[in-house]
Amino acid sequence: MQLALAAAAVVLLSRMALSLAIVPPWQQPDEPIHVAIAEVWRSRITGEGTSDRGREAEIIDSMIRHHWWHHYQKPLPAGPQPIRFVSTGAVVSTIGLDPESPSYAPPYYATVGWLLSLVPRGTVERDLYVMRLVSMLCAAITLWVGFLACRLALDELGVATVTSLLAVHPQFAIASTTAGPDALVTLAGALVWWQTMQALRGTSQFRSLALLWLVSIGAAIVDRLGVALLPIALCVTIMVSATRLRPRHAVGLVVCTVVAILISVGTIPAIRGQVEFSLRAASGPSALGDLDYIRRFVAFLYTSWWYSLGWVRYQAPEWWSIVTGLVTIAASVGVVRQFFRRGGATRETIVVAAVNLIVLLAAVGVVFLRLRVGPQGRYFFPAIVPSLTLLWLGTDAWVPKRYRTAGAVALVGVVAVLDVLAWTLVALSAYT
Amino acid sequence: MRLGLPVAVFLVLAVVEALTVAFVDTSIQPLDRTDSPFQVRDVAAGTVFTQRLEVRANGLNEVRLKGGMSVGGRPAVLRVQLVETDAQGATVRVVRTGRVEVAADETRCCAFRFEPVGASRWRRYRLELRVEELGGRQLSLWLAPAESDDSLTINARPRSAFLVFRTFATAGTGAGRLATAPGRRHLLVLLALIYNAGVAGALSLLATGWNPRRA
Repeated sequence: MQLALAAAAVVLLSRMALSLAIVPPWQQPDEPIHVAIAEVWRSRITGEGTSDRGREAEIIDSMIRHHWWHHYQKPLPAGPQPIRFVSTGAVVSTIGLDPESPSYAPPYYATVGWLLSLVPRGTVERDLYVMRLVSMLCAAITLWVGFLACRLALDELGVATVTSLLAVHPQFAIASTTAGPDALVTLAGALVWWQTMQALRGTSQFRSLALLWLVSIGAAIVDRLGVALLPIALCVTIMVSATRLRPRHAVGLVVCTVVAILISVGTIPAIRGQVEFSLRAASGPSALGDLDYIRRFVAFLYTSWWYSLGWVRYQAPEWWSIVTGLVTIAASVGVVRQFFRRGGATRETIVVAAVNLIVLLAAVGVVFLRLRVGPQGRYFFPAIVPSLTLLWLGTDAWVPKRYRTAGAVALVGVVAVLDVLAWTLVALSAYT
Repeated sequence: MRLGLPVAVFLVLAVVEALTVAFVDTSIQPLDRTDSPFQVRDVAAGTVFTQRLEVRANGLNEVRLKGGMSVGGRPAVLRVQLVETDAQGATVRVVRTGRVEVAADETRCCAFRFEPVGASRWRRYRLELRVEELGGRQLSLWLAPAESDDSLTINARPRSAFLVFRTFATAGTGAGRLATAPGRRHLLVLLALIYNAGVAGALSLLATGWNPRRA
């Protein structure tokens, strides 16, 4: 089994290295603002006195040198070269406003800023790549944690299949080389999934739930996306309480958890700030009644979960998306089939994995249907391991028992070929 | 360990990579269509199409429209002009002009080939196509619906659609793009080989139940 993990690690590392080699600086979503905030923290730690602690002028200069505006398909702002993100005109709302803003939670940026402060001040590109390497490290750990979770959720073939799928998933390697906190939240999501399985399959439920909550709260403090892990943790707690604990203990645990959530959201400024920011940003009327918008919203969420590059300017070809669509539809129907056909553990795994996806969908919907900005599929990556688990279970439902191995090989093979085609047809043509 | 499956997987991936990198031209940013393409039949002589395009590779040397023409007794003639524009669509300069003659027995229409435009990457162009003479034949062209109406005009009237076409460029394929950067090419080839080996290993382990010695 460890060999399967080793092979998957080689695949994932080579794909992330490909991403580093092909995707130019600033081409991953929101990288300029993430690097600028880390630079602010580096300056605070080193005590460097400057009026541009976020090094915005240098970042904008570097973005121009690396053709950011070309790739974004917008003209460079007229007049003198901007020195602040707010002056960049067309992209101001996209790349964020002020790196000194307190709305960006410190834990991730302060840690990366501290890392950057350990070496003499270098170029902003070097710092960007340091941050990309930090994300890669998180992704490698996510693969390992996903493997551990799968060992609790699936049989041996399932473990190897889901681990391999994570390694070849076209968008995962790309998103995992983004300079920003997303990879850390994805890792937190994988840890939550692992501890969920531990609580459901193991013997020490309280320890698993405690770890799960610790990770969820940590993720909520690190990034707004991490807030979505709190309701997932609550759902898991209710589920574990209902199925694994005595009724009196279960009720007590759930009540304590709900009270703890209310207290932590009300009193821990980092979490309260994240929740308030998300709800304030999404203060407009929801687009729930606009069916055409919802259709495009869901379609983009889905296609970009599989593949999207460069601030969502580069998409996979249509036929490519049709193939992923067929794979997904087959797996989705297969999941329903598995749910009614299989009992016990598999059914439980399907329910918890579906809860992960539904909660993330609800969280993304609450914020983005009001913002009327298309969310990206990578926002679902905190639940990528449960998603791929469903993909495998759904595919497995259609394969006769004696051909299960062949089915697993075919599924991973198809995704690997799709990934290769995305590299050669989209990434290479966009960035070389 | 039986080498059949891993070798086969490695080779399949390598062949897919080599073929797509060597032969697939991706010199244009795909345009967003909102619905299925449709055919415009019986395009009249004298009709003028203008189509905007943004090129992603150097050495643009062909624009190939998707269309058809009935067989007839005489060749049909189309006048074509490639004009560089700025971001707002204003003319910068005429880059290439030409004449496309569709032979009497030719039923496909039409490919406009020209001397490569050296620095065409990131540039915007307007293809101006005038149907000069049809010789009694019927011309049909494929269009695709689009959300905006700033891409295509027919007889100077903007349309919410675009002509279905492909472009080709000397640096339009992956191989063409990497030809000028040998260091990067070697690095990417090395990483691709490691990737292929990793996938071959993973699939082989899946197939053999994680026992590499199993026949």
